Amino acid sequence: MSALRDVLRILTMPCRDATEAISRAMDERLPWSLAAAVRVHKLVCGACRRYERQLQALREILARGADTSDEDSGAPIRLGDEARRRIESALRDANL
Amino acid sequence: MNVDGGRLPAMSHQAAVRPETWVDRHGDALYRFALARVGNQRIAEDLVQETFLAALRAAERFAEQSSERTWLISILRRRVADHFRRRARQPEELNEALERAVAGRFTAAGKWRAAPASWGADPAESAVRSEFWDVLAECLSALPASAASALALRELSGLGSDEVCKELGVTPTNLWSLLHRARLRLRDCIERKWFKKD
Repeated sequence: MSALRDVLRILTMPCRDATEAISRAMDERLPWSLAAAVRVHKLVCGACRRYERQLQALREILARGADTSDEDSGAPIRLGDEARRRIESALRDANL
Repeated sequence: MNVDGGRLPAMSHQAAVRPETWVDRHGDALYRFALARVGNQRIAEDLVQETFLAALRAAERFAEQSSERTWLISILRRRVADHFRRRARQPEELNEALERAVAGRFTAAGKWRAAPASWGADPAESAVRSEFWDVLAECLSALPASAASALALRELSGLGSDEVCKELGVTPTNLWSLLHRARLRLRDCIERKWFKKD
């Protein structure tokens, strides 16, 4: 009976639970029954397949955004002009 | 050519530390470092400013054997750790708004209310446009602090889940839940402000 419950759970997973599991799979290996449920869900749900692709794309994009190595990496995240001016002025005031 | 007999003035600590050049030379790198940890523009900017001011006060202790950048980053690293410690002492903010927003994406039966829209054939090409990063920082900063930090540490700093848990003092289950909500919200925000705008 418990096997039947597992199968039922695999077949009836809602998108709300699938998205949570899709996110969790990006951080750790899922327990097998959850992984199976997500796989089956994605077979029949284009929206969740797309959601997963977009989270992967976001991960790929973000990884390029903040190369925090000590070198000037040319990474695209930069201090805004307004903040730059504010910090420069605070530094000037303190350095008088 | 140096007119003074070809001799340069002896390097002193004062000569090695040039605060007037800091923002230009190190501002971006320090800001990236801070944003990739706290996940909030305004807090990251404040931490960078505090770092420069602390460095100014400690300039005479600057050991010339490390580079100016390494020295500044080490100060910033301590500031970020202090920031996380201060926040951990405060009661965890109730993420009710985040919870509601996530719940609102699904029907009572757990189906998408509105399926994710298409992001085109190659969403990653957005990364080359500098405006994208403004939108990203704005969307990240709109998340509750703990969710923004979790996502920034995991995806911008690239830390492993266990390291993020340690840094933020949360359990793995808390972290999955924070990251799940943060990703769902960030995805929606970026879609609204970037992909639909095109």
